Amino acid sequence: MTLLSVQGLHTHYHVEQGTLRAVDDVSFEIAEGETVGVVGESGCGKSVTARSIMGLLPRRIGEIAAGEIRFAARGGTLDLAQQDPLGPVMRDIRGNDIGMIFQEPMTSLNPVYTIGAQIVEAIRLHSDLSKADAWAKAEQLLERVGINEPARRAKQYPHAFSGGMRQRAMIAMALSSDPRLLIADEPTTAVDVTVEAQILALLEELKRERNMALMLITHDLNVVGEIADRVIVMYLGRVVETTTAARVFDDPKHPYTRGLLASLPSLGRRTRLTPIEGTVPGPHQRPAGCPFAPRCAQATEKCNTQPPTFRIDAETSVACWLYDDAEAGHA
Amino acid sequence: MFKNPVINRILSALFTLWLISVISFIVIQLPPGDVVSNFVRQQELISGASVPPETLEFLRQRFGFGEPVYVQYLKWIAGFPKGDFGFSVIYDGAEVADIVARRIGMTLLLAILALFLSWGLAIPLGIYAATHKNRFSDYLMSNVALFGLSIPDFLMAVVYLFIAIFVMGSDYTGGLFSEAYVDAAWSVERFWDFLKHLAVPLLILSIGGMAGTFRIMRANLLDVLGQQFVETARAKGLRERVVIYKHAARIAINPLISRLGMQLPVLLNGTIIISIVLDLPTLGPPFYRALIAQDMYLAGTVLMLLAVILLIGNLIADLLLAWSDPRVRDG
Ligand SMILES: Nc1ncnc2c1ncn2[C@@H]1O[C@H](COP(=O)(O)OP(=O)(O)OP(=O)(O)O)[C@@H](O)[C@H]1O
Ligand code: SF4
Ligand SMILES: [Mg+2]
Repeated sequence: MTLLSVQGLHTHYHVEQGTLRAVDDVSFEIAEGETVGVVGESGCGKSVTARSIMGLLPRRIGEIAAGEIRFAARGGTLDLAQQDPLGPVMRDIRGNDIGMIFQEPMTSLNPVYTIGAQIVEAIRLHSDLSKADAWAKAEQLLERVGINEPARRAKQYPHAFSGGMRQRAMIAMALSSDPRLLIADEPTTAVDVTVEAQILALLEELKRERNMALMLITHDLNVVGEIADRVIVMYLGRVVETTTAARVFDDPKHPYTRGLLASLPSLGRRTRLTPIEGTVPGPHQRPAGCPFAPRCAQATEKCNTQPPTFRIDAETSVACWLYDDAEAGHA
Repeated sequence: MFKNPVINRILSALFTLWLISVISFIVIQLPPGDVVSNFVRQQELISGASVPPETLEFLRQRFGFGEPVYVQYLKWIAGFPKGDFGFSVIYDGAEVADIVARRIGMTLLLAILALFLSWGLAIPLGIYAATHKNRFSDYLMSNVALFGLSIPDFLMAVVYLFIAIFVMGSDYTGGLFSEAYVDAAWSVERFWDFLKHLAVPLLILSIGGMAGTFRIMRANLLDVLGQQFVETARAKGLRERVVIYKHAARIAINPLISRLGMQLPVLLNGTIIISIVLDLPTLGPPFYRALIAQDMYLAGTVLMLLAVILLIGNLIADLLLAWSDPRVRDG
């Protein structure tokens, strides 16, 4: 069953230089219990997409200009794009139905409250547990995410925790109200490789035991390969390819996806790294046609107009003119 | 020096106190001719007869009259444990301790009330301005604060007096009581009269400190609001008000606490200056008169007392900060 369905999302940032189309016509779905990886280079709109879902766009700067964010909750579906981001409905969705963890574990927790107090705050916000019960639950959660001596640790402040432990504490907090969806925005970018593997394994375990969906944002395709079911590849605010995690490695379609794959430092192939030619254009110099055209070796005349999304089969769609002859037409 | 930081702190405070007493004594000895000889000469002028030999002997015993300077210093500090800080020439030989004791309370009361008032107004205004950044109200407040920062306290006091007396026709001419209540016993009317009189210097004093506190609070909060843990608080589903006050403002206040140590001398200075202009029963007027008349035991003792208050104020600020910020406490 579909848990989250984003359709035609346009998110604009009103900045000094003008209006920035940070997310430009993005559509994707996440099923219950599914892990979806969102990949793309820095600045392609991954975080803005997540913020749009959470209702956490910067006030008076970010705005959902068009589109739907349908989320299955309260026995029906709710269009989150239509909700007041600060209103009671969104506040209840946040933390309760959708949890989120961030890239920077070192700064994600408030330095003046204990770890336990911060988790208890989240628990009590969305339940009527007593303070003592909430503390007990917070300690259980800390134990579950792999923190030793949870009772003692809960009374410590964030500065007594290492980066990896803080990220575990963040996960405990995000899971405290049993969300249906966890959005993890580059949860392992700031930690070292060993810790990264542990955190990914933990996320994988937790989502299985709770049948929770996971939207995992990363710029590392290897991370996607580890735990995702499906992959969404973004470039300059657009989804350029949607496919399964297996296929993204075996049979990437979009020239950008292929470029990402080729630039991957793989343990098996000891070939030289071939990063994608050129750089991402500044957000204000968006090409008129296919956004990838300036860096694409296969670009043709046709690419001066924006390619629609071609559906290759039930699992894969690509926004690239190379697949124009794929029978089905627009998705 | 020593392992225990508390002992270190106390030792260094004691050393500072000693240094302060030396400097104060040097100040006492600075004017030509020493205080005691001046006093003797003055008494002789008034009475037209020589000072009796018993008095001279007493002065020699107690203050080292006619002995080397270091003996005089030792004799002066030897009186401290007994609460003897010397005598005042302009107050007809009254004990310095008595003069100071009668006025220290009002001095501290004014300074501390002004501190509370300026924080109580400046912090909420700073929070409001930061959360309404770049809107009209923010521009207005920030510019008024800039203006307020550039007016010295005594000028405000003079301007206020001018407006009160010549424009509004008030009979306020300074002091803390109307004539009818100066020597009256405490009553509701007297207290009300006192409050009305207190309001003037209090407002002048607190407005001076407000501008700076407002600007720092606004800047701190803007800085904190950009940090990741604020986003975490929102992602939990907390109300915006809780996010701002409990998670952001709570931290933005810490630099204000560490600034207390610097704010206190400014406030005490302001209290003294305003008390001179408005003739308030604080240490201001006697200190001023003592400096002009070279009544050096009084001037030196007030100087020393102010320094001690600053020392204690700094200690309190440090303790408060450690209490408020666990990173400082454990660090
Ligand atoms: N607060 C903001 N103000 C102005 N522009 C912003 C803001 N946040 C994001 N943007 C812009 O929106 C675009 C998309 O940014 P986004 O943060 O979604 O990228 P990302 O894919 O998450 O990248 P990264 O991998 O670096 O996190 C970028 O061009 C970025 O410059
Ligand atoms: S549409 Fe054209 S430019 Fe864009 S990726 Fe496909 S081939 Fe390259
Ligand atoms: Mg991002």
